[in-house]
This record gives sequence, structure tokens and C-alpha cells, in this order.
Amino acid sequence: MSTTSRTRLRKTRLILFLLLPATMLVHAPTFAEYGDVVINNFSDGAGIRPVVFPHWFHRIRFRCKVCHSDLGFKFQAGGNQINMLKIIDGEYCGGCHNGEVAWSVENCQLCHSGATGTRTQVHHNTLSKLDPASAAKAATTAAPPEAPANQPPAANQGRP
Amino acid sequence: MDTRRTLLCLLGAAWVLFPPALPAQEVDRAALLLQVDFVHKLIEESSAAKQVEEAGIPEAAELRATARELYEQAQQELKAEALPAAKALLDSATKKMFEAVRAAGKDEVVAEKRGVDFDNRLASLDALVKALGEISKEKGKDSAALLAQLAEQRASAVSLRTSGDLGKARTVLDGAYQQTRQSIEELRRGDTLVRSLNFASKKEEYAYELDRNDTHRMLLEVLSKERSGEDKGLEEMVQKLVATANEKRSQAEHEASMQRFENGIALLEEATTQLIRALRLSGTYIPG
Amino acid sequence: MKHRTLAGRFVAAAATVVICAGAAATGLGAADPNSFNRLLASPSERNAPPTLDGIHDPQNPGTALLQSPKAAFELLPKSPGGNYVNWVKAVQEDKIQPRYDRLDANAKPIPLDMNIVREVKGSMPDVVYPHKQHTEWLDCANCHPSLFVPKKGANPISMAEILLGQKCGVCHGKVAFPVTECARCHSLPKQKKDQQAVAPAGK
Repeated sequence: MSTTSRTRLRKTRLILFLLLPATMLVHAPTFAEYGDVVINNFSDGAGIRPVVFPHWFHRIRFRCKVCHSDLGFKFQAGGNQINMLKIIDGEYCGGCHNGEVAWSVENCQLCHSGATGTRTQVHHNTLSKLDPASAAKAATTAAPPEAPANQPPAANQGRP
Repeated sequence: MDTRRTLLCLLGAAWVLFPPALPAQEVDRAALLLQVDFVHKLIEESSAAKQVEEAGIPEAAELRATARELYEQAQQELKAEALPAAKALLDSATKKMFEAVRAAGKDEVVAEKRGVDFDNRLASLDALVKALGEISKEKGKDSAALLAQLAEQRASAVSLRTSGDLGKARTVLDGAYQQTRQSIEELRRGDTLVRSLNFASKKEEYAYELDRNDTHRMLLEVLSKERSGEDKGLEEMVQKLVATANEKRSQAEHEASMQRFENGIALLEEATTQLIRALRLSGTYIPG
Repeated sequence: MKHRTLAGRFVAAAATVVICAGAAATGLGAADPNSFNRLLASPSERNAPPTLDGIHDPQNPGTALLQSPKAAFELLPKSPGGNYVNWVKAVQEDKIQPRYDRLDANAKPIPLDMNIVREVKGSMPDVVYPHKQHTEWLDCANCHPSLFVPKKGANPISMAEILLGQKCGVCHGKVAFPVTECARCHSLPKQKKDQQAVAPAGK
């Protein structure tokens, strides 16, 4: 294939990928997995992609109590005030994502993989179907009023 | 929803035709350039960099200097187009910088979280110990010695925490917690407890029925959002049942406002029955 | 110019083929009035790969490296809702071995074998709350005392409250099986209770 046709292909691809998420917004339910958590407390503000935490992937490997008791994660999406310094210090995700139990946090793009602008929430939760406004509010109140002084160092990663 | 399905098809088509991954060499290069940018900011500009500077700990500063050297070497490799070598060096630089951050660690941040974790665990221990006391009484088992020992461990954990040894405090606390948990398990093993439903008054029963009615309404709402098909005939039937249910409910509320709770209960039961029919029509299995 | 046109034609033709093939394979396209379970989400829409799920950024180089749930769930017992996986069964049947301790792969939970039956009004089966299945996954401290006081009669539960994300709804309807699977909790038919036969719930 010539360079022109490849460029064209790439353009078409780009247009498709730009258009598709826009069309998906119209259809409120995404194809996200049940229980997928998006954490976007600071990410959008810091110019990086929000974090997607796949519950399903982790529950294949760990009982709930490992994170929600031993590591102290509250049962609240966005309610844990996680930042990169805490993770590097071995708290929260850093309990495992330290290159020993699981891959280390220099693999920024594996967590910071969400579509920009996706708000903090647990996907497909019942409350969001009943009362989207209060579900959104719950996620907002979970977030702090402002980003903490300790900006995540990975804040510069992931943006083309 | 046809549009959604078509969309999925289109997505599939797009996926097959234009996989988002670029040819291998290009991906590595693009990702690598992102990483170069990231590592540079991490070492020189980030809050982590500031933390290392402010801490003034020689060990941390040294680790950062090593990270900087590794970064420079990675730049050289990149210029020589040795991409895998450059990537390995960038990874090492990141790790070194993380080590520097740890060496310069702001202990307060971590200490605060561990303090909260301790307090939560302490609240759990208290609740479980109280339950253990009650279960022992119920089963006619003398747990006085055990309870005294647990109280002692608790006190010791709290005083360790006050004196600042959070790590040791947590270990002592966890020991007491595990023992309590185990003792409850032994006492309760195989038990079935029944929480019977007894209404103190008709007013209370009315409140129960109101909640039950709300629940079924909400379930209908949830299911209507989950349903992917559209069926006008079904929708009409559901709406009709919901309308009857609404009417009965407002009648019930009127009766309740006149203190005629018995009538209110009967009307709510009828209203809920309509909703259950609507739910079953929409394909949900409501048992009973 | 010639290349462009050719490439364009190729794209159009291939897209048509793929769309048609996709539609035929999954029974999509124009809605089939006689399709099986016509009111439910089609199985083809379930467990989408991260690159297509609408919350991941497909442009992010890391996204394509993430596992697709469909591949992970293939061998796991099925369920009608949530992830379409019966997680309780998956553990019981040893299909998955989730760690109980993050560092010690051999640590085993000490489940509490104790049921609580909660009576409900009418013909709706009573609720059986099995501590056993819950303590396979969770620690006492996850629920006690922040969600439930470990004391008889101290925890009035409203089903509406659960739907709104309180009490059981802290997990059920978010991560654990959704509240629309009524019979998994309402599992003790009225006549059976009289015979003292407590059905194991949560299956």
C-alpha cells in the first residue's frame, strides 16, 4: 500500500474512533463490565487519562477482603483519595503493584487507560439507573474539593 | 435497541479493519517518546521531584542523581535508535526515582491512613467482642477469662498507638481481632437464626407495605433501563398495570392519612400485586 | 489517486462483508421478532473487550494490553446478570483461586457457617443470609459494625434502601450479583421453612 492510502486509512480510522465514542454517549449504558470503577478525582485536572479499575479482573485473583480490609479501601468509588505518592509508598494499589505481587506502577498506561472526561463511578450500579442525579452526586462528594498538594507524578504521562 | 447492535457491528468491523495498534516499530517509538517525556517530568518537575528536593535527605538526592544519569543514557540510546535499550534504561530510571521518593517519604501521609485503618479495625473489634459476650451468654458458656484477655490486648494496642508505635499497635489489635473472630466462629458454627416478622401496630405494617411498594416500583424502573428490546404492546400493558397500581397507592395514602391503616395495607397489597404482574410481564422472575 | 480509490473500495467492500457477517452470526441486523430472549441484552453485547467498552480510551497504548473479560470468563460458571459469572460457584467449584492474603498464596479463609433467616410478608420466599459464602470473600470488619451491628434485631433492612445502594446494596448492585436476581436471596419458600429445611442461599 502506498503512503497516501495508508494515510487515508489512518484518517478513516481516526474519524471512526473519534465518532464512535460520541455516538456511544447517546446510548447512556456503556459496554463497560459490571463493577468497573472509573476514578477521575484528579486525572482530568492533571491532564491524564482517568483510571479504570476492573473489579472482575481482581476478584479472579483476590478475595474482596484483601483490598477492602487489609489494604483499607473504602466501599466507595473515588472515596479513597488515592494518589501516586501513596501508591509509591506502598499504600492502596501499591500494596501489590510494586513489581513483586503485580507489575509496578511505572506501567502508567495500564491503569490510566480511561477515556478522558469519563466521570468517577461504578459502572452499571443500580442507583445510577434509579436516580442518576444522586448517583453522580455521590461520586462528586466522594471527590475532594481540590486536588491535593501531592500531585501524582504520573500526571504527565499518557497524553499524546 | 437496533442502533446499539448496528453500532456494535460497526465497531466490530472497524476493529477488524483498523486495529488501533500501529505496526510494532511505530508503537514502541510513540510509546517510548511518551515515556521519555514522563520520566523527564518525574525526575525534574513533578511533586515527587519537589518532595526529594525539600526533604534534603542525601540518600534520596543520590538516588535521584542516579535516576537522572539513567535518563541521560536512555536519551543516548534513543538517538542511536536502540529502542529496547532505551526503554530498559527509562524503566530503571523510573524505579530509581520511586526509590528516591520512598527515601524522602512523607511519613505523615501514610501515617494518617494507617491511623484511620487502625480506628476502623478497633471499632470492629469492639463490635465483635460485644457480640461474643452476648453469644456466650446465650449459649451458657463462660467466656469471662477470654473477654478479660481481649480487653487487655485492646488496651495495650491503644496505648501503643498513643505512644506512636502504630505498626506494633496494629499487630496487637489484629491478634485480638482474629481471636474474637475465631471464638465467634466456634460458638456460632452451624447455627441458623431466624429474624421473625412481627408488626407492633397496623401503622408499622403500613410502613412495611409502603416500602415494599416502593421497592417494586424501583425494580420496574431498573429493569426498564436494562431491557434492550422495545415492544409497544408490552409497554402498554405494563403502563396499564402501573396506572392501576398508582391509583391504589394514592387511595392507600388517603386511607392512611385518615388513620385507617388496615384499609391502607389492603390497598397497598393490591397495588404491589399489579407491579409484580408488570415485572413478571417484563420477563423478571419474581418468586412467590 | 488510483490507490486511493482502490483503498476506498476495499474499505467499503470489507466493511459491508464484516457487518453482514457479524449481523448474521449474532442474529442482529433488523430485529428478529422471534429471537430468543428478545427483551434481554444480547449475549454478543456482554463482556466487551476494553478497547470497545466505551470507558477505556482505545488510543491509549496500554488499553490493548488489558485482558478481555470474555476470555477470562469462558470457563467460569454462568449467571443471568452482573458479569454473567456466578462468582460464588466459581470459588466453590475451584474454577478460580482468589488469594485470601495478598502475599501468601496458601492462606485459607475461615468461613463462618451461620445463616440468618429474615422473614418477609406474603408469598415471597424468606431471605436466607449465608455468612459462609460472604466470609469466603470478606472479613467481619467489612460489614461489622459500619454496615450491620452484630446484634439480633438491630438491623432493620428496607429493600428500597438496598436498591439505593445502602446496607446489602453497598456491594449488591455494584459488584456482587445485582438485586434483580431476587431468588438468590429470597431463597426459602414459606412451606419449607415450616419443615426447618434451610436452603443454602447464594448459589
